[in-house]
Amino acid sequence: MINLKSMNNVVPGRRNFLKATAAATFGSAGLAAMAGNGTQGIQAAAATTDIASLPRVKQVMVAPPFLPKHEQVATTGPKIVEVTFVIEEKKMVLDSEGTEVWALTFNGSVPGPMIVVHEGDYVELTLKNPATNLMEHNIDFHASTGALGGGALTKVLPGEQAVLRWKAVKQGVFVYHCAPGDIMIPYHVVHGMNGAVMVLPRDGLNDGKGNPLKYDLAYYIGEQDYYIPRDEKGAFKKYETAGENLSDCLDVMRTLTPTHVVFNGAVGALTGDTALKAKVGDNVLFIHAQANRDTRPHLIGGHGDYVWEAGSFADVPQTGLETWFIRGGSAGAMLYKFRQPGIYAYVNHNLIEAVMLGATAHVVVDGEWNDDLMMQVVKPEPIT
Amino acid sequence: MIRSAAAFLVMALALGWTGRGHDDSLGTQMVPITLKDRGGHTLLVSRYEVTVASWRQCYQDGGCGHMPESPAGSGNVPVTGVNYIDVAKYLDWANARSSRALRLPTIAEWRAINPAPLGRETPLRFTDPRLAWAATYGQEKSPTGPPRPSGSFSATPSGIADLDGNVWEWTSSCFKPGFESEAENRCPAFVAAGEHEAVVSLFVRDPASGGCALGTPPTHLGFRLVSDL
Repeated sequence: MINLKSMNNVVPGRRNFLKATAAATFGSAGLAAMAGNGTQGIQAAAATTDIASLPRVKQVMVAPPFLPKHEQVATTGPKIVEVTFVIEEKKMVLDSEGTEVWALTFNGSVPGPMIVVHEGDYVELTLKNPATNLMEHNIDFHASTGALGGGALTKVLPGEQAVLRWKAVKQGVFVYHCAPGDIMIPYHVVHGMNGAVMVLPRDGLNDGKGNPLKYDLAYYIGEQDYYIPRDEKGAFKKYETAGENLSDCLDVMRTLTPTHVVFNGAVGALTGDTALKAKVGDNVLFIHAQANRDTRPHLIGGHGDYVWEAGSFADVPQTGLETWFIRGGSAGAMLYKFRQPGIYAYVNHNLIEAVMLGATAHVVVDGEWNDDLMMQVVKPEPIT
Repeated sequence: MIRSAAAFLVMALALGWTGRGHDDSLGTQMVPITLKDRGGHTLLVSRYEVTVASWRQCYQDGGCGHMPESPAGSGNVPVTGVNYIDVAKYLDWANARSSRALRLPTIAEWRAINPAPLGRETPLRFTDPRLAWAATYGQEKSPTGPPRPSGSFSATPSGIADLDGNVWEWTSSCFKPGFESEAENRCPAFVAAGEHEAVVSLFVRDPASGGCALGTPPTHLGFRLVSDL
């Protein structure tokens, strides 16, 4: 185990990161041995379960808030869905005041891209950690079964890659995140290294009463809490390299009080020109992922028609909700049919977090206004 | 040229201000602007927004009760993080020292000062009058980053600088037209102007850094002085 106090005093650098993460691995020797044999192990399993005969498709990753091209109802039997994540440690600006974070990312975005498969499919992930990075990384899929969600089999140092295949046996929306060991687990997660997987039922979504549910659009909201250290004057500190903020950041993380809570990596990332878009009549699926911290999405001016709050599509969705709860370390889904044009704010309805820390997105909805649903009967005027 | 003039002003403020008699250093940086729609009335408009150096003087004199945080050596940067009430105190302090009556511009004056309003020519997002509340969505752009030294953004042909910067300027106009003339002290929110116009509660020093239910908040709040010739 790492002594947290002593970690606070280390001068961060590449050497210390590697040492810290290696020492922090649970039973590191045993897991390292397993990881070393991983490729052979997978090949052996493939031979015995006839996975080799399954069709393979490549899923092209797209940056959030969008989802990769996919079928809502599977038209074929199970398949192997090949995806590639390239890890990128990159400096990102996270608010309009120029506050910076050295984000740790899957494929360069916060959150990482969404993978979409059907129950019974296999996800085969190639995880690449280019030599330009400074840290060790891995990935823990909450949707997968075994080996710490794959985390124990995917530890890759800069310059390495690993391939992990897992079977989607649970349907729903699930978080994935980097979990390289000990304090590096929350550290990587609060630097953006998380995302979501959607495992659809093979026959698509349903309302739990036998009626299919379809969506016209789907958006993926990754909520990120950041803990940016401040200097003695209260200004957010900037750093030259990824990881340099480690000891400062751990102190902020320990307060459990984020400095920023944002959607899609930065304050305002889903507002203005990049606001979400829909039309009156569209059924829109919102997938909300939070890898670290509880949140409570709310659509100002609308509702959650169908809500899979805990994320499992095997559950009967709740209906007609005003606000729903996403547990830290999980994803949830909400389906809403827009009935009125205008601007909607999709927020974390802790309004301090929405308005002061950044957890606000906007949906711009085109269409015809419905006076039956709402009408301004008298404009504001002096009280008579 | 503009920068050296600004530096001179800062020096004048920092070194020459004794608080005795009239101090017209504020007025030396004012540009006469003729307002066509007010029968050719001439308004004197400060080239720059009021700076940290000037605000610091007000604070040290006891005129301003609030000293917003500002980086060291940032005297030549517009003061930001000041609300409408803070600004009123600054005006009282400044007017006690100036031979000229200093005030905030009205929003109509601010628009007249700014010959190339950005954003206002963009088509409305929604044209249905029932969606007027959402019509200007997406037109609210704000240059990001910390406040920059006076003169860092563009200047109008008359030499008024930084109207398109990342500091929004308080105006004396209540968000509800006519409200201020009846009971100015009861107006709960005033119009702040920059690349778009924003209604800001008089208590707000730091516009919401996260999000609004509608639109994008201004980045920083400061102000500019005008005077009637």
